[in-house]
Amino acid sequence: MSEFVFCTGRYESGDWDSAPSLPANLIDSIARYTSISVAPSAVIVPLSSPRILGYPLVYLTGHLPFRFSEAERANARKLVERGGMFFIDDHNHDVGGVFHKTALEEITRTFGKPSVLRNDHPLYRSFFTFPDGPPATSHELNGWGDNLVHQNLLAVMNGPRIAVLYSNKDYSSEWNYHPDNKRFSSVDNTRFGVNIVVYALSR
Amino acid sequence: MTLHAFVQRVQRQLVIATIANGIAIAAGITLLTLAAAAFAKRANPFAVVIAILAGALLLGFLAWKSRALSSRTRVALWVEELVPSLNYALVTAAEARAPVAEIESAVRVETLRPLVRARLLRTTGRSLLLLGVASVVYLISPATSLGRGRVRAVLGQTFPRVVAPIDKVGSLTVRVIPPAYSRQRTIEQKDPGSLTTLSGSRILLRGPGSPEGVIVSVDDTPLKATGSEDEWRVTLTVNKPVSVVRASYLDKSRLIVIEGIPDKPPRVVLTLPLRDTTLRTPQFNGSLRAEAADDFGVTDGYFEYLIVSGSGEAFNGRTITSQPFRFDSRTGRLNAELSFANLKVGAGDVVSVRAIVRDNNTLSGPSIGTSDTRTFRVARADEYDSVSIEAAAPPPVDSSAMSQRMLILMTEALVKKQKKLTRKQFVRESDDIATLEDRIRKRVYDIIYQMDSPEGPGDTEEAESEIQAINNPDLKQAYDALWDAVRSLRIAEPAVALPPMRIALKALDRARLAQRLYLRGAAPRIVINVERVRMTGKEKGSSSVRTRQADEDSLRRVLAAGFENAMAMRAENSQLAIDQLALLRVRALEGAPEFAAAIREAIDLMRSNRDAEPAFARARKAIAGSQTTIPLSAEWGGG
Repeated sequence: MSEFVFCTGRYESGDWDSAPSLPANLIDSIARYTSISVAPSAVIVPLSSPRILGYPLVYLTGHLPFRFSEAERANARKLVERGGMFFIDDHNHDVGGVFHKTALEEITRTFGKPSVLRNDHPLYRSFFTFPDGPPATSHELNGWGDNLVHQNLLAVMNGPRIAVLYSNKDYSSEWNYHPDNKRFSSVDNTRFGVNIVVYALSR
Repeated sequence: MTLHAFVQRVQRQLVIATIANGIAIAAGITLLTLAAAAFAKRANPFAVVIAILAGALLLGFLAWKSRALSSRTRVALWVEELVPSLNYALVTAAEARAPVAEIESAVRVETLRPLVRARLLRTTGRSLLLLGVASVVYLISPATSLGRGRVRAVLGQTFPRVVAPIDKVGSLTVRVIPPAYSRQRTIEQKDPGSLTTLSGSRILLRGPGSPEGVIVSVDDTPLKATGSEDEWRVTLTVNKPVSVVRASYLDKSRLIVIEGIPDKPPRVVLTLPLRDTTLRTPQFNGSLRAEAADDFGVTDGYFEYLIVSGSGEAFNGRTITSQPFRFDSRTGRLNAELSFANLKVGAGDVVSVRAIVRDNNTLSGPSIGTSDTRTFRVARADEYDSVSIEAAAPPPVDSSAMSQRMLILMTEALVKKQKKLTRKQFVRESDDIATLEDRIRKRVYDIIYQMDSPEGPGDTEEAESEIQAINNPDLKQAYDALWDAVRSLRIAEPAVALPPMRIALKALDRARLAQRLYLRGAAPRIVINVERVRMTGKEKGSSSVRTRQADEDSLRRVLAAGFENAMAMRAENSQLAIDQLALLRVRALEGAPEFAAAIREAIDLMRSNRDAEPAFARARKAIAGSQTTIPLSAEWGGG
């Protein structure tokens, strides 16, 4: 069994690399809490490249308009059909923002209309237990972006499992720090990221 | 043996017996007098003198009464009293200068000897019996340690209603002697359960009875009890925040908790100047003022000036102190004048001022208190208040634009003065401008056809690097126009060169203003050391230092358990319960002060046989709300 490699998808439009420290932070959490064999560094793979199909979980984020090219869209569909999973996070944390609008439009066009993910979904129990659903981020609690605390995530399902997990809670800002700084937090806020990875690998 | 010799012998025996009787009776009376004084609790040096005097007087009286023993006739009469049938024959024989044969033959000495011996023994026996009785009475009296101690204890246990054993630790007197420098009064307390005093104080612990059998320890360190027959005493010094003194005798024991309050260092506040100051020139004369205070007394103080001179990396400092100020009270004031001229302060120097005072702690001190530091900074002559900013070099495109504008001005000037110049001068100047213009062309070329750095992003999928040309039409237009201008200038046609030069300038301006490049800083490449995160790295074969985890709220549980234990013990043995509570209080002093205060009150109430329930209720309430962890020792330090 090969080791898990965290993959950030690079797409032509927008700023796909707006959270450069997030992958390393989640890798640290996976190593810290789980026994999953994990690669020590993440990779950035063009979404238009067929190499993207080799990664079970692809992370996409950005602030700017979000559009797939034809090649990207085709690969994204193939990845989902083969059992892969996308985690797309709105780095703006703004339902009126350009990323949110264009990303939902693109997700609907590529994968189908996303629906609200219930807060008792197995995703919230796949490793750590989050009885109240997705954990709130400091950006939500501090009233940035759209000044809302979003109660649910959105998801496009592929049968019983999540194919595309969409968040406008801005986990990209919340988790975008060097993992050495975790020691300053009383509670590690990346634990939900571990749930996403474990869910993507085990369901 | 003749009768004369017999009388002489009896005389000697009587003298010896009389002396022995006198001594025995006098000693017995002395001992009985001492015992009586002890039983009457009047045992003191005066009573001893009285007893000895009584014995001596009795001895003298007996000696005076026995003065007749010097006469043989009286000795013979003493024998005649024993044997009246002698009819003064022995007296006659004793008074005769030579033995009288008729008398010698009529009186048989052998019959007299047993009678004399028996009488002497009876008399001496009574005296010795008296001495024996007196000795026993004295021994069991409170005047002797034996009487106070074991004998009384045994007797007390056997006959508790008759003789009560002395409880040497039942009634303690504690004298607290604070250190002399504190000028506090000596206080004395009877039977304290705990006391609080200044650290360094001497404690004199006293109890009734001799020191024999009394065991006193401070935090399990034994102390030697000294004293007299009437009183034992122990001296100790308070040198810890909390000490437990345990005094025990036979099956009785007492605990006293002593809290030592440390002497605080003196406090000093620099009241003048109030804030730091920056001066333009090294000229300053001002007042310094500081207020000092201490809990027991300030002895002296002074101002300290630290003057730092120099700049860059070469500094030197000098410390100067003001004249000392003497105090003899709990507060003091320091006043001084600060003069930069006297301190020889120069431009660029920094003068730091602070006040320092010492207290009168001669025991563990003196403690030193320092004030905040005020800083006077003198500006250097060349800095003043200006802000110097070194201009950075303009970016290449911007500098090209500026140079192009300058070359256009030069070319226009050359065209204007063409008629005034010789052909040779004109061609040379045009060629010079062409050279400068060509330099700009080459810089624009470098910008257009720059190559990517070979050190690109290192991620696995991003390793591809390539040569890229900046696809900028403005720069390309400028480049082409510069080519045209250079060609015209080389052949000495500056007027022809001016249009393409202006085109190049406009193109460079557009490129400069409209095509600014913003490059994002490269994100650091973070590689997670998975083995380190999982703490499964290389085993070095040596253990690391580990810290034992303290149980949450462990102190509360310990105190609560001990408290309930003491409550259960209270009905059976209140003294043991008090001791238990005193030990609990020692543990609670730091972590649960409210509980400790309630326990102290409860102990005092129990000692005075008053109702301690309200204090116990407060203790229960305090312990119920306290969530404290026992601080750990470093006993698990490994390595």
